[in-house]
Amino acid sequence: MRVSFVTVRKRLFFVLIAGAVAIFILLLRLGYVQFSMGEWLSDLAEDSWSRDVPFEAERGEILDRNGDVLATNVSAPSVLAVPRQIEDPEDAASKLAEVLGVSFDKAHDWVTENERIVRLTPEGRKISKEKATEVRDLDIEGIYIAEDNKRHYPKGKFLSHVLGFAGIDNQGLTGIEQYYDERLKGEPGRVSFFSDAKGQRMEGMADQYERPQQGENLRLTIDARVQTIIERELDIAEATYNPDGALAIAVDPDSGEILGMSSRPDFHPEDYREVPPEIYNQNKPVWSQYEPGSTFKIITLAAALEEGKVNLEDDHFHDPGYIEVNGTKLRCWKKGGHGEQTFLEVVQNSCNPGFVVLGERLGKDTLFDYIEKFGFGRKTGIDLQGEGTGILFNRDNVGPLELATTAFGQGVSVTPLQQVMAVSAAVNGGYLYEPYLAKEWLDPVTGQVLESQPSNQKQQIISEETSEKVRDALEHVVAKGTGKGAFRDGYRIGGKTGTAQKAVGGKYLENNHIVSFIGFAPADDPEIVVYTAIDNPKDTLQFGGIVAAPIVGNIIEDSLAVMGVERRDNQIEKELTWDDEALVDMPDMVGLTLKELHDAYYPLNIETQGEGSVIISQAPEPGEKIKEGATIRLYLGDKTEASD
Amino acid sequence: MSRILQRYDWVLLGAVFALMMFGLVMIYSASFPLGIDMAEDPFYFVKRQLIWITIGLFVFFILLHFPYRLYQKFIPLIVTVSILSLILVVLIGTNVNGSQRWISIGPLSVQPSEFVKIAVILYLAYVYSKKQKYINQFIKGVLPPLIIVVFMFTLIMLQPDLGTATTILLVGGTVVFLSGARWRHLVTLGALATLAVSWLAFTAPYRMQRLVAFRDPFEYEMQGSGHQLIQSYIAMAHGGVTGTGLGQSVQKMHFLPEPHTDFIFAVIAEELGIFGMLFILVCYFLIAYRGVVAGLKCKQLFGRLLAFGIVFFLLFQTIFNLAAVSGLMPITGITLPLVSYGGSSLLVSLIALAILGNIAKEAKQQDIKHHSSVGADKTFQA
Repeated sequence: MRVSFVTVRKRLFFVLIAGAVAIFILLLRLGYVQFSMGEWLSDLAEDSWSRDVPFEAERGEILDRNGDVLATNVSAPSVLAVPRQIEDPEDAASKLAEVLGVSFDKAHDWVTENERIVRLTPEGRKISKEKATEVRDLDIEGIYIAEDNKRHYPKGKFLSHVLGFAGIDNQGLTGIEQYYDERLKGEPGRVSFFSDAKGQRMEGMADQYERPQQGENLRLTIDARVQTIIERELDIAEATYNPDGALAIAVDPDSGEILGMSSRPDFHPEDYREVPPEIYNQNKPVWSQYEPGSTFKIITLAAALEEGKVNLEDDHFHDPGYIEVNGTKLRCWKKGGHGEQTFLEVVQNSCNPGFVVLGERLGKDTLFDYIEKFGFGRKTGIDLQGEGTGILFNRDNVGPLELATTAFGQGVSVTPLQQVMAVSAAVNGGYLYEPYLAKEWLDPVTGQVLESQPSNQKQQIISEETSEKVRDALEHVVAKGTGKGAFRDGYRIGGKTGTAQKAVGGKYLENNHIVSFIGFAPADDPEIVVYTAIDNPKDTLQFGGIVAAPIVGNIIEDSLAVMGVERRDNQIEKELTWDDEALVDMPDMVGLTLKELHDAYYPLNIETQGEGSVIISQAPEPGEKIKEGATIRLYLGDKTEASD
Repeated sequence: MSRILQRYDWVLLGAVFALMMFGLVMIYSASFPLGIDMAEDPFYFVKRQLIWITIGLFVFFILLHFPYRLYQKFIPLIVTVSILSLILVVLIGTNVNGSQRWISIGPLSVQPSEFVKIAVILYLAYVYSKKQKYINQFIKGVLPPLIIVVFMFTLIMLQPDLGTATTILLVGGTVVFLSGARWRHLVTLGALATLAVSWLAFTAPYRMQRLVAFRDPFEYEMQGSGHQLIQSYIAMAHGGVTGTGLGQSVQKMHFLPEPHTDFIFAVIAEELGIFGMLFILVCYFLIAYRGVVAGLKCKQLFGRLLAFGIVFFLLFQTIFNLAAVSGLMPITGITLPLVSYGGSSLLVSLIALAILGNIAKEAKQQDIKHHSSVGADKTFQA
């Protein structure tokens, strides 16, 4: 007996050791599963538990700077199926198929899918309220109507490229909607109906409703009134010239705020599927890159003035129609040349050889320093996706010829927005700004401002004095030179034409230009800079002065009017050309009787409206310049009414 | 009075009671969604478990005072009843999920194979304590009792229930080992048993599947056992260090299969985190510790083998269950003793612990006698 007791004790020791080892391994394993597996299991777990009917958050609204709504939401319910709760899939499928207008098989797939919650995409998503009521009236167990909404752009194609659009899941896909998706989209809410793994609702446990967090409202720098003018002018240009494309930008040169931006061809954000992706993906003002042509001469001019390389009034230049650089003849756009000119006239006439001389006086490094300082060759930093950087010559490869062409805007590639920001800097006193669209974030409920975007001034490139000289020279371009099409009485518009050749495969296309104009006003204190480019206008001479300048003139004139900018009277007078008609001042006719009107002689075509014997209102307003023989409108009424 | 109370091993009894009550709370927490689902009664499983606890405590109290030595007289009866009940299961048992393990008695169902575990421990402890003189001989000493064990194993495999059958082999093997059989014989028997169990595991397709799913649960998620294991992982990981709080398990909401039986530890880990896990492990440690101490103090070889057999039986069950829950071993359907829902397993654990308690009680009584006799009469020669 004694011996075996010892044996048992020894053997017990063995077993206990073995047990301890097993338990130790077990403890390690338990600790690992409990504490270390968590990270990568949590996704799996969440996916497995959520038995929630989602409540989409409303996206924040997008407003213009004055609170005009540009993007909002409309209620559009969605149908959800919880297949495990559907008792008779055949019946449910046939009913759903009829109401939603889909095949029985498709409906059957929906209600029998091995998923917890099935979205009936796309026929059952974001449907009308009427359809939703129809579905609800079917009263099928396991079919739910979830409150949902879809994006609505009340102004249609208006500002479409900048706004972009949101997809079926309310996710921003392009434009501002994409760039600021995080803040606009909000947080989805849910109703958790405490359903278990079998998809059954649990009795005795209250449903939990988690409110969706509405996205923040975004106030843009865009002025809807200016944008409306831009859209109108581009509509007219498209109708008139049938171009391959068109674009326009308006900015506030003193802050970099974008006031308006449009790109053609355009699209309706709610029907973006109806156009090819390149249309909605290419916001031309920030995306496209091309040779700027003569508008680029503003940069050369500003650099030459700042460096003291030219005196516009006193320095003279003789243009024989070409200039020879390194044995190559660079021709002026005007056959036979401009002859003897001051450098101010060189600018007015957009004389290429004259700018070659300015480029040569600056030298390669100085000119390219300025080009880079003005922001070319890199993104402007605007809050939009897909911005182009442009292409500059590699300085090491710049010889005299490249220097010469760069000076008048050939051989470089820039984006429209780069030009606008550079010219803004040239005319606003010399300060380069970062352009931006998002002005303020607003609380969607209280309307309180959550965050304001201040303007971002990058650097001063030229002095106030140089900037003033540039403005003066460019006002001369409009009053006396190639930019006369943009002249508007009283608004002191300055600007520069551009006619860029399009290069495809290393060759310039014949008779296919991008004609452009960049203008600003008023010249004494610019409030707006507007750029327009029309790609390959048909049935017209392809010159920026002819096609683009009048558009910019219209945009600036009407925009300054709505912005409340006073007309000036110290304007540089327009030099009349043979096709200009004489302008007369619009007389003040309000208060005249019809008899007095007939007795007086006005060289105008008069239309009257309304009943009465006294003129109570007139268009245009007194003092405006109108062409002789132009049509004016007079509104008639009774004197007593008028005096009320 | 105090002398009577002193006879009990209160640490052992306290740990048993604490585990059982803790189990009851956790069964409620883990099973109320299932109870609502099955019988629209969140207390459905708790009520049943309470009945079993009442019966179990009654049996426990009686057996605690039943001198363990007397079991030796009933060994032939116990073995006979065990074998008969196993045959009965094969013949008229209730089939649940493809295995025939239960016999229904009125509203309650009993799983005889659970009770056979104790029968085997009692039987082997008895036989080997009697055969000490020729335990070194294979044919005469070691083998004959094992034939009966293998017979029982075969009957259980007919249900089929590999988990329980393996437990019986393992517990039986431990008793044989402890009783001092030769290493040579033990290695041979161990190899044979391993071969048999492996063969059975690999030949039945569903067991093979479990085994493969256990190796790579995420690959085989769609299949039952891979899914179970993943749900168990998720529960434990969800609990983390502090747990989600009592009643806050998400996984019990029909995600984790068998949340109140085989996988109750996963729910405990999810809701109570490290605290729940530690509580359970400490209780089991106390039981095992007191059991080993009682066995070592026992002057009788039968009592000693019996105590160790019971301790290791409970230990194996616990290890198997925790290993399955944490993915260390394939899922075998072995419950967590005293904690998991289930009448038979609770009753068997309580019977085993009552026997262990009785051995401990006797050991204490000896201590007390020894002390008092030493104190009363210093001339007593031991």
